[in-house]
Amino acid sequence: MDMSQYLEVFTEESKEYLQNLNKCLLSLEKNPHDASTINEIFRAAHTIKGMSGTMGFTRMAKLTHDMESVLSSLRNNEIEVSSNLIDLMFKCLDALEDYLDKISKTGNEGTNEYKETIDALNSFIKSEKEIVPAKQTRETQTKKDTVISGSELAELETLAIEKATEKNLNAYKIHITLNKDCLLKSARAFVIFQLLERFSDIVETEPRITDIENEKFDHDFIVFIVSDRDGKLFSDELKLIYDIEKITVEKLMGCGYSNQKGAASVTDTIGKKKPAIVKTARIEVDKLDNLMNLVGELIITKTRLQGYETANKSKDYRDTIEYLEKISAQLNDAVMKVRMVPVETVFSRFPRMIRDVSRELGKEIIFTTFGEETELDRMVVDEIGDPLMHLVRNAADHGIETPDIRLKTGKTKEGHINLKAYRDGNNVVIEIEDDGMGINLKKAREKAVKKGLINEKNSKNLSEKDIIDFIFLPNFSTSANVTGMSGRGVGLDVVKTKVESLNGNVEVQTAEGVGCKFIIRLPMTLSIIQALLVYVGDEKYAIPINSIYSLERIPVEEIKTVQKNESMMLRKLEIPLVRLDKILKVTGQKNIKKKITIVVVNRNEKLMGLVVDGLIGQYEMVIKSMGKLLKNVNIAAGATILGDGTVALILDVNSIK
Amino acid sequence: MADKKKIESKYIIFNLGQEEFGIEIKKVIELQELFNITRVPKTPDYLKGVINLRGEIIPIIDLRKRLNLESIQNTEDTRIIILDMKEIVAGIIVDSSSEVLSIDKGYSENVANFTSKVSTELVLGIIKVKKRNIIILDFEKVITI
Repeated sequence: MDMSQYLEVFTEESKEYLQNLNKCLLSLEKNPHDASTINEIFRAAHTIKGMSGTMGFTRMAKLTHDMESVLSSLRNNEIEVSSNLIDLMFKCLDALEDYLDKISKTGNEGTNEYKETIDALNSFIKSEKEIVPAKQTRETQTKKDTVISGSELAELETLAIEKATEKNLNAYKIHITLNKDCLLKSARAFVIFQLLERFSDIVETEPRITDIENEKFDHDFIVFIVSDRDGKLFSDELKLIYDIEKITVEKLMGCGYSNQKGAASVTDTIGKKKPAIVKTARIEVDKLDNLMNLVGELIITKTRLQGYETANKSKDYRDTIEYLEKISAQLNDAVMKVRMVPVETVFSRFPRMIRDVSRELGKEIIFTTFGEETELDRMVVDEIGDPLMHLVRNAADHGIETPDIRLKTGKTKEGHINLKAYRDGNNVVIEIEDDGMGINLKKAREKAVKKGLINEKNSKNLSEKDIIDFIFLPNFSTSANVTGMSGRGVGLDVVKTKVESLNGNVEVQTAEGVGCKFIIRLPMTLSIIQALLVYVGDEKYAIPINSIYSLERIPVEEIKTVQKNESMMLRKLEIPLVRLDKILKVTGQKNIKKKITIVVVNRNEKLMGLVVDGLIGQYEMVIKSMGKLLKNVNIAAGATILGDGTVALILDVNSIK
Repeated sequence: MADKKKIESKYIIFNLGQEEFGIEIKKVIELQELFNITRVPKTPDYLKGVINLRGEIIPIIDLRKRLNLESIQNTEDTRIIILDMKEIVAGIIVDSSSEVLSIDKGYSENVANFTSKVSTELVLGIIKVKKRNIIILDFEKVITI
């Protein structure tokens, strides 16, 4: 059977399960006795095993199988949660991730068998079982160990009824028929089991679990469960699962030993066409981008239409245009929403990393995240992962002190790292805050002098902010030679560059010995910005609103000139002036003016005045890429299409010198 | 080079002054009349700027400048030929273009005894068609900055 068409479904679903496993393992480490977490981990591993087996990825299936054995012992209280166990499980996850990575790239799982990991899993049960004797006998039989002598339904029914009577519960027989065209039948089956286990104990299945796992069934199977819930609940819940064609829930009556069937039988046939659940679709990002482009086009066309000077603008015409405007705004919003994803997808990578770092360095770190549901443009989310990883790792690595040092300085033993995301107008702010040692400004200043960035004398006059700016310079410090300092120079230039390439900015607040906070401000979307359109000569340029500090108009006499460098005073602050026409080499006749117009912009958190020849207005602009040929033109962050169909460049103020 | 000497290809013929140039029609997306070009600062002078072609930003190269020929005033015959160079879509400005030729032979790479003002480093070769010399340019090289 050709499985290639299911590959994507498989990798995507597996990735989700892995992510879930990751989360569960971390929470299990905190609450080692939480049975529901153990169950969830078990089920996730089980599902991955089933799916990879179905897809013919035997190595992956083997690994998850052995993982499952360990988890099964855990579930039966034969072994206990330990750091070693969690470490081992994370190793397995790494291996699985590696398999998935290979699969999504090449279509096969590769040849690495992770023998070491598998051996570790196998020896783990042996060694642990000897140390920790089983504390109690199992209440429910685990799926793996169950052996049914004869798979006669009657016997199973009896078994279920016995169980139910024992616990004073109801026994149900649920017959489930899957759609004929269901992909990954066993995976679906496990989703079903997972769901049933939320409300009940599964007593047995027909065919046996192992057979269902290996897809050794046609399209239907029977599950015997015991529960205190009503039979209707099961059929209602099951209806929500994909790919189920028919469900029959039958309450098994008779206290004990008869197979008499009761009347309480609910049968549900689910029409194929009827969606019962919020359906989602995975869409290629390319298609979304295309849609986005078309909406951008529509908005541009609409703006052009608005500008048409028709001789008699009838009311009808105006109303229609107004309606078009409303619709296109809504369409734009809708498309933007489609592109938004919660930052959770990035945040979820960190707890594991914090755990590894703190174990490695012998630190105790409490990592908390806030606002994971905050949404950002998919592209921003994809790009921001690495810089954030860097900052979080730095906080754990260099910010947070070891427990003994913390105690000595009167802090709690555990260090805290908070990762927070929230929306602020059209921006999303992400803060990484730690209560570690902070940045040693004195050391940073000395370092700047040593590096020849500034001379000793001038360095005394540096403000705190100036010094912090140094740490964002490339190669300013490496962890090797700044052990005394927090060592935060490592790769910070990369972080800054990345964030700025996303039209965002980074700010740092620090107090020595108290902690450090990085504040990253990002635009919610990269595709549409608010910008000020200005004249430079008779050319039009756009300046992004988020980099504009203020607009000024001053008489030419107020320009100060020192060694050909012009500057102006802005509320007692001297700021440099830049003649945009010179920078942009705009040619053409210039009128001598008595007053000049200045757009004050924030460049790398320093103010700078851009001298322009006129202001046109503020517009919402669709950012277009300048294409491959012009990708190195750094004066422009992109281009936009104006209402009249012409192109205007969007200035990248950070590149103006 | 053998595979470039295709048999029976259609070429769009365009002019710069007296010289005739050809480009395979499959590389051409469309011909446009000259319209608003936005200058891009800090680029070579032969990069005339960018245009909006149905929502895409397309760079435009002034082919006369690119080939070190003297500049002339635009006329109503001036055209932009939009080319698809696989990874880059770009336009070239030419004096005029009005003809499509079916040519059933490949170009000769021997341009040594060919006299033209065009700098030879951007020329792939010449096709002789009934006393006409059609110059074939290396557009991979032409469209670079």
